[in-house]
Amino acid sequence: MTVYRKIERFADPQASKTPCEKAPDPDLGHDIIPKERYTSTEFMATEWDRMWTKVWLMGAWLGDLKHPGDYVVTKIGKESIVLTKDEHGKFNAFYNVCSHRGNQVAYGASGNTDRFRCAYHLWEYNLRGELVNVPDAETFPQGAPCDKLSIVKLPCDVWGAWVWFSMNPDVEPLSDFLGMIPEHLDPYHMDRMALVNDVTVEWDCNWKTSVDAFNETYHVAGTHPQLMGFIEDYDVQIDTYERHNRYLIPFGAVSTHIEDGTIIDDGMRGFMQMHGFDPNGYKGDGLGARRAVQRHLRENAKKMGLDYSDLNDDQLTDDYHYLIFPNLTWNIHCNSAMLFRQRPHESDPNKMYYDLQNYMMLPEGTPHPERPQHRQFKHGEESIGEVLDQDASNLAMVQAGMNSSGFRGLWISSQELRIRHFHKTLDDYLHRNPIKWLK
Amino acid sequence: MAEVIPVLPIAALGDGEMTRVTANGVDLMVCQVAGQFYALADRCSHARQALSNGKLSGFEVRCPLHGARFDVRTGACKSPPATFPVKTFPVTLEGGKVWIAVSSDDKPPPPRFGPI
Repeated sequence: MTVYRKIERFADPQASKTPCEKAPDPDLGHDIIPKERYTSTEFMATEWDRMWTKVWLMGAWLGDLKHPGDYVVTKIGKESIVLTKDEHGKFNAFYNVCSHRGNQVAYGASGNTDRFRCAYHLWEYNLRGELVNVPDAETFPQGAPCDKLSIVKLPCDVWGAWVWFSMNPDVEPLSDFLGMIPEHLDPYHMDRMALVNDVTVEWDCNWKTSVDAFNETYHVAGTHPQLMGFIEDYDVQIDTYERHNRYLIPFGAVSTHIEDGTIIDDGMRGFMQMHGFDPNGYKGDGLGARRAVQRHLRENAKKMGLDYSDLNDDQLTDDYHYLIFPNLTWNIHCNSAMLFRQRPHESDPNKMYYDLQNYMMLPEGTPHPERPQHRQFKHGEESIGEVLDQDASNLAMVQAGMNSSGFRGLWISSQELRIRHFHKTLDDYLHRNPIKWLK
Repeated sequence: MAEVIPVLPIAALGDGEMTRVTANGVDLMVCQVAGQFYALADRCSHARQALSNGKLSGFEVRCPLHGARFDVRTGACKSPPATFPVKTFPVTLEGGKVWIAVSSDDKPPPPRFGPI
C-alpha cells in the first residue's frame, strides 16, 4: 500500500468558530448502491412524493428580493413556485398557479409588481398569493370567494443570503432542518458576498449522478489532473452529520499523490496570485506554500479590505465543502462561494438542471457589481470553466452506464463516504426506516 | 501579436510523426500528415494533457490520458470527454524549416479551480 504524506491542519479546534474537528464516521456498510435509483421513473415518482415535497429547498437569493414587490419564480420538478417580498417586508412562497383554470400567474424569472394578474381571465392576487379580484364574480353561481380561492401558500423562511421554501405544509422549522449548517457557515458571512455568476446547464443525467460527482475527491487524479499541483485530493477530512455532510479539502497543497511535494507549478503560482501573494517573492517550496498563503492573508487582510476574523487559518486557503441535503453543494473559500444546485427534470430521470452560482466577497467599500443576468443552456453549448467542464463531460456517459445491463451498481470507497451518506439520508426519507441498500 | 518563428527543420519530422516544440513560450504539437504540416496547441482542451504524448492516426491525434480525439487540420474535437476544439496555428515551410505563427498571448492561463 502506498503511504502518502499527511497534510498539516493549522486551525485551532478550540478557537475555530466553524467546528473543524473530525466527526465520527457512521457505519453505513459496504453494499452496492443500486443503479435503478438513477434511471427509474417509478423511483423518481417516489422521490417526489416522499422527499422533494417534504424537505426545505433553497428558493431565491436575498439580493433578488430586496424591495417590496420583488418576486422570483423558481422551478423544481413539475412545480413552479413564486417567492415574494410583500409590502410589509415579509417573504412569501406560493404555487405559481391561478385558482381559476390553472394558468401560471407570474412570468419570467423575476420582477417587481404590486399584484399578479392572470393573463387568461385577469384574476388578481396580491404579493401573498391572496385572491383580491375576480372579474364578473356574479357569474359564478357557486361563488368566487377571495378567501377560499387564494393560491396555496408554502412554508417560507430565511437563512444566510437565501429565502427557502418547502412544499410540505407540516415541515419542521428551517433551523431544525438545517441543523449544524448555520453554526458552520455563518462565519463566512455569505450574506455580504456579491452574486457574480448565475447559469443553469441542462445535463443528460439524473440529479443524483451530479450530486455524487462533486462529493468525493477520488476523481481529481482522473478527471482534474491539472489541479494536483495545488489541491490535496487524498488526505481530506470527511464529516457526516444527521442529514448534511462536508469535507475539508486542503488548497495550496501539492497533492500527496505527487511524490515530490516540493514542486511549485503554474497552478500553485496562480493560486498564490489569486490571494494577492506574489509567487516570485516566495522563497519556500510546495510543502510550505499553503501555510505561507494563510499567513499572508492573516497579516494582510485589513490592508486588502477583507475581514477574516471569524475564520480559522485553514479556512483561509482550504475548500470547506458542504452538501446541504438534498441538492445544494458548496465550495466555500474565504473570499468566495461556489454553489451547485441540482434540480430534477420534470419527468425524465435521465435529465436534470444544474444551477451554478458564484458569490464573491469584495473588499470593504467596493460597490457590488450589477447582478449578472441568468442564462440557461445545454451542456457543451458554452464552457462553464475548465474544471466543471471536465466534471460535466463524465456525466452523460456515467448516466448511460447506469442504464446498462452490464453495470452492477455503485461500488463505493471510503473516499466516497459522503455519497453513501447522501443516499442513506435519501433512503431515510423514502423508506422512513433504516437503510436498505439491496433490492 | 503573432510572430512567425522557425521551430524545426522540415527533415526532422517524417510523415505520420508528431513532436512538441515551444515557440514564444507556447507549447505546440507539430505533425506531418499526408505531406502537410500542421500545428496545434499541445494541450488537450479537456484536461491539459500534451497531445504530443498521445497517438497520431491519420489526421486524428488521440489524447494520452482520456482518449479525446482531435482533427489536426482544424483542431475540431472528434470525441468525448473533450467538448471544445484545440487551437490551430498557421504553418509555412521555407528555407528547409517549419515556421509557425504564434503569439505569447496564446500561452494558456494557469489552471484554476473555479470559473471566476
